[in-house]
Amino acid sequence: MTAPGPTAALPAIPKLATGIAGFDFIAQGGLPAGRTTLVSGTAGSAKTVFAAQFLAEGVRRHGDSGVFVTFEEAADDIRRNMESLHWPIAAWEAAGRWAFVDASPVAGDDGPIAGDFDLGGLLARIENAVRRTGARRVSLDSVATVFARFADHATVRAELLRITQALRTMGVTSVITAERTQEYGDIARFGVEEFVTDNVVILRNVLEGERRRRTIEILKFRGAPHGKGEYPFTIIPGEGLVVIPLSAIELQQHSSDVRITSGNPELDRMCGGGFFRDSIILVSGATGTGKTLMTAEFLNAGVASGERCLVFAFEESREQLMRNARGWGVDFRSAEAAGLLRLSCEYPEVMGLEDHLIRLKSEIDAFAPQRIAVDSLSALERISSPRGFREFVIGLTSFVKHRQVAGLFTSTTPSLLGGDSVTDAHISSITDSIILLRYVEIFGEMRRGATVLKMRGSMHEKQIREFTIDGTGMHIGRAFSNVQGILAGRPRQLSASELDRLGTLFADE
Amino acid sequence: MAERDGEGALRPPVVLQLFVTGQTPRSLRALANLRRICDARLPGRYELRVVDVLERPQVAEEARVLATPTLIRLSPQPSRRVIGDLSDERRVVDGLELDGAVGTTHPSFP
Amino acid sequence: MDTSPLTPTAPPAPTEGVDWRAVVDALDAHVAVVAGDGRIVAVNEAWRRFALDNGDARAGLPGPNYLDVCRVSADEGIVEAMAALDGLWAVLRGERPDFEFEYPCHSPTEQRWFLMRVLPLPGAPGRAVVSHTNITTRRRALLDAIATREADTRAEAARRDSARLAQLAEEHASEHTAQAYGLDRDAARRAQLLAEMEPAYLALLDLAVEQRAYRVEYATTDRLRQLADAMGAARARARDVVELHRAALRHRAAVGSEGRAEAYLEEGRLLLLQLMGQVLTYYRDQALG
Repeated sequence: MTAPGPTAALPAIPKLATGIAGFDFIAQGGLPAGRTTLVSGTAGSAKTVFAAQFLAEGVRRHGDSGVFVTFEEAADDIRRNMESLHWPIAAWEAAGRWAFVDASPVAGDDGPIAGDFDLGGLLARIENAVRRTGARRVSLDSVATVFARFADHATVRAELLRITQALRTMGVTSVITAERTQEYGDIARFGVEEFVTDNVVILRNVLEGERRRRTIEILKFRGAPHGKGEYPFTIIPGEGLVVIPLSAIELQQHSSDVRITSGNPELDRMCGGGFFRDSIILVSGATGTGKTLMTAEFLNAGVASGERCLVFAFEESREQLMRNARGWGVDFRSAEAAGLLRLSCEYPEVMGLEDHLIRLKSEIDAFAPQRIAVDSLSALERISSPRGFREFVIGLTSFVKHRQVAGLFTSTTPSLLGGDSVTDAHISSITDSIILLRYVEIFGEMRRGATVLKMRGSMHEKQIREFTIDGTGMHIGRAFSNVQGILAGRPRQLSASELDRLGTLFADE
Repeated sequence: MAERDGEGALRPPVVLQLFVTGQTPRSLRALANLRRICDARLPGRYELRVVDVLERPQVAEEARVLATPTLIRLSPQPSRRVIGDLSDERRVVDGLELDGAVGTTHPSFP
Repeated sequence: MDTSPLTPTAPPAPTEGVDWRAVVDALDAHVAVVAGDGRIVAVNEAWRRFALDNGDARAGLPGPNYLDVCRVSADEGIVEAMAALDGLWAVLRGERPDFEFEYPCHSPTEQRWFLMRVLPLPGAPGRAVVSHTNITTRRRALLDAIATREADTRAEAARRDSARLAQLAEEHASEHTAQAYGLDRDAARRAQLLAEMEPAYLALLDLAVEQRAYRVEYATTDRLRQLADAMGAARARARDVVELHRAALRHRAAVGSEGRAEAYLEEGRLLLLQLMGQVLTYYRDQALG
């Protein structure tokens, strides 16, 4: 809302999209364009990766050339270190899209200080590199080393300020990295924040128990909006930083303790009373293990309580879904007629993942359901790159979570249990409940087993229960006893002395 | 330009390279100080090359110069550097080992 | 009427159920069969209609000698007719396997181009098939493509000129650094003075171009010297002179035809050189004085 007068809002500073996954989302567009942003972090907090990735994504995605001013590591070391991230920096240099200003210390470069000095040499070299490449992005990593090399800190501060001003007249968007010694203390050493005050981003690498938790926080953008608080991120080999746009606080809190039924009373009991109202539930299992049935019962339960339910199906047509549901005693047709159920079926191949996400979001907005189901995430995984799928999952689950809708997602991925990829890490942090369905071979017969692997905020049963499927749905029965290897679907009976080991199977819960 | 030292061997001139940023007061000061020092200690035995980093940033890049003024003794090797407007003569002389290069028994100027 | 196919290389087509005469009449090419002595022995519908439209009442009737027709036109000095005559004759006598020829034939209302083809009539030695096809559209497209390419080349040349001048003008590789250290204090004042000089330079540029077109002489040297003195007094750098020139060019290159733009580019170069020389003289006099 704008109105004339002293309270009229000034136009916000435009943003430059960095291209770093998730960051532009929490930064509401990107970094303030044409300005300098301070990125401060403790040792090992990935500042250099951030600074390099800012340039790399510029070259890769936006056709922006970049200049990397390195104070700490030699240019050669950076080229080598970034190889694991699959950035062909040497090729970009040859093509004039990337230039290093190597300001790292080399023996013999420094000498005694015999009078007043400035850093005009550095600035002239930076300007030269910017001109040669036509760069729009500049990274300086990290200024702490400059303070170490030149004892006259007052001069260094004044000169670094002059450099940031010159970068602004050059019209480039820049990132300056700085060191800090504490995760929750001063912004940076040497008072760097005094001359780069306008825009500050903090990278943290906090030790929690035995695990490292990386977070990024936009402390401030002067004259521009941004997401507040810490957001988790991870570093993917071959990708770089990936920021997950759900604040850590949101992840840990429930907005409600209200329970809803899964549609299966036994499953509810296994979950300690049902799912939470606003939870994200992941059902994982091989084809045919009963995921779609579980989805149908979940939706049915919603309809029965008068809730609006929306299902996105990517593996079966409307007719198939309706028919299968009827086979389990679930009547989708009437539910649809009553306006409580909407079936949205689409083959994955008809459009790209970004378009799928847009479509899903707009259908959720339009139908305003209380429950949604996606069957299955794996069908979408097949049609995209790992990076694209990751962004899709993050985008969709964040969207659903913010709307406080119960979301059930099915998947065939076997390793969604704390693996290395961010999707796994993200899914495990964003999902509230994980249910595994598996085939189990017992005495030469194929049986089905279900277990609740995770149920955030509640006690849940840890046993693996056998279940059957018939014309009236899913029936969960007795727990398998003394069976190991159910998760891999290859059970073998335990001898008594191995019983103890069963307990360790779900120890992290 | 070469002179003979006490043992009659030829002494090559001292080659100095001064990096400055344009014609700031600091640059002019450094140049004036440098000439004064050299005329006093290396009369007729020095060669001065001035590089303006504004005009030739590529030369500054190759020499890895960050601060200006930076004075580099190119010859005799190994090269040595000092930084600043050279108002601290003692540091200039010690840092570039001008006494040693000169090989003189003259007393140092304060 | 011989109903053999027109092209000698095609295999004999089955004529069962096909009325080849109707086919030939349906072609929009004007087709005629000419005998060894030049007599027109047959024409298709398109030829007949074309001749009628062009006022020849006898068109289509056997008799008129095509060679005579061509010879008459040739006598009237129409070069194309002579070439057509030669070609037709050569094919009729078996000296050439075929003959092809593009020529203009403009109507009072529009420009038209045609392609004439002569082929021996297979199975009828000494006879030939003559066809004329209207290729106006194709030719116009070709002319347009050539014109566009030439225009692009000119525009590209202008761009390169401008870029080269800009390069020449660059004094400092490091204007931002210079500015950061307060070494460019004159900039604002200079910019203002140059803005004031622009109309004078523009006027000189206009005069230079006019001189080129109209064979008149203007006493521009004095005015140039005055301009140069003013620039020297303002301590203009080479870059400033070039910037003044570029700004003026931008004004003039935006309007008018390509020919005009090119004139401005060429005359401008000379004028720029003269001005630069005068400014140099100013500074030299200052230095020596």
